[in-house]
Amino acid sequence: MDNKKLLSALYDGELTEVEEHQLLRQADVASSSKDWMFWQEIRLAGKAIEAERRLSPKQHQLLYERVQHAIAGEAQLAVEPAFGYRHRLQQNLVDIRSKVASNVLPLGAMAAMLALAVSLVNLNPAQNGPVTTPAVAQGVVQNDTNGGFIGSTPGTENVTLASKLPSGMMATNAGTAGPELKALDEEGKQRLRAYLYEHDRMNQLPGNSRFVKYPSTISK
Amino acid sequence: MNSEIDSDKRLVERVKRGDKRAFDVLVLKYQHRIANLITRYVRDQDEVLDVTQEVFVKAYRAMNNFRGDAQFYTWLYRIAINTAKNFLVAKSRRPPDTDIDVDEREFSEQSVVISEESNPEDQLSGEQLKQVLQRALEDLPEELRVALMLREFDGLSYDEIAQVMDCPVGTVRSRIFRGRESIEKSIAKMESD
Repeated sequence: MDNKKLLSALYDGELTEVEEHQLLRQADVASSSKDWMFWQEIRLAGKAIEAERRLSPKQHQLLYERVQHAIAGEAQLAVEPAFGYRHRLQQNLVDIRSKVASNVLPLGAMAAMLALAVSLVNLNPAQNGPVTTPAVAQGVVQNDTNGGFIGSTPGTENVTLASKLPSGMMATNAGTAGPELKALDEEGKQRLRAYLYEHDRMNQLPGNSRFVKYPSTISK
Repeated sequence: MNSEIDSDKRLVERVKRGDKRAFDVLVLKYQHRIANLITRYVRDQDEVLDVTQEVFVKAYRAMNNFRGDAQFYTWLYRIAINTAKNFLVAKSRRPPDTDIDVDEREFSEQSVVISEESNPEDQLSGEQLKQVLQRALEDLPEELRVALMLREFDGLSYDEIAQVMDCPVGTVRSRIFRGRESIEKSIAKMESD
């Protein structure tokens, strides 16, 4: 029985290599051929039954139109307004600021302790006591939660919250003349895609409602 | 296959953002498969259209609940099977083996006669086998029937069937094997009758 079960899985191409070895060692292939042929007949007969029951191309066209019509009557899935992407970005920044406000004290303390530990390890007499980097002083700390909050990277100076976009997006460095283009990571690609989709969607709207409203007019 | 899965993921994301045209594409991609699946539960073609339409409307409404853990079409298959079963329950209709229309019976008798004349030496051939197989499938316990049909008619892998039926792959393998054994016994019994 076990060999026949393995044969059934082999017939479907679902055996592992180990199981194949086992089957070939143990099974009498010649006597198994009868089962194989029977399953093949069943498969062919089954396909014939399916073919008889299939909808015609005309019926499929009708079905498609009916589904389209039904979906058109359904409420829009996304709840966000037409300027959804900008609104989400704005919300992210608001969330970031509120998180920093609530987290800066304990995280600052942690950063201070970490800096102390580093200074002790490096035996650097200049760094007695808490040390804050410019990034920590401005409240930008590492956080890998799903809020998309990205902390400062080593060596980054004068990074402000307003200039810190989710990872992968164009970032501005206050100390340089213009934006630094970065290669987009997966999250960045997703966000760019979201922006493009939103743009596409807005293009479908009637002419007088296409314009993006600035954040000051966004209502929740 | 991977590119198709990625394409589905992107389309689903677009639908979640409110792009109904992306859902139209998903309908085009899968309506044939879903309609074929529904025909295994529902015979009347008008009802097949109704149930298939309902499947896609349900999928659209539930799109925000689709987390992407499974592939889109296995998720869609699950909705289709549940919708078809609910439809049959709602109509209080028993499985097709007890609901043979008069026209179908005449057709099947004619088919049997034709096949006997064409190849009298075969125990079961052509149309006979189809009729016998149909009855044997309908006699199967549901979990065996669903697993076997998803494999034989839809060509789904064991992994995919496991996703649709929400069971381990080993269970799928076992159900398919038991389904085949059961059909073999049914056919042997019908041959001997």
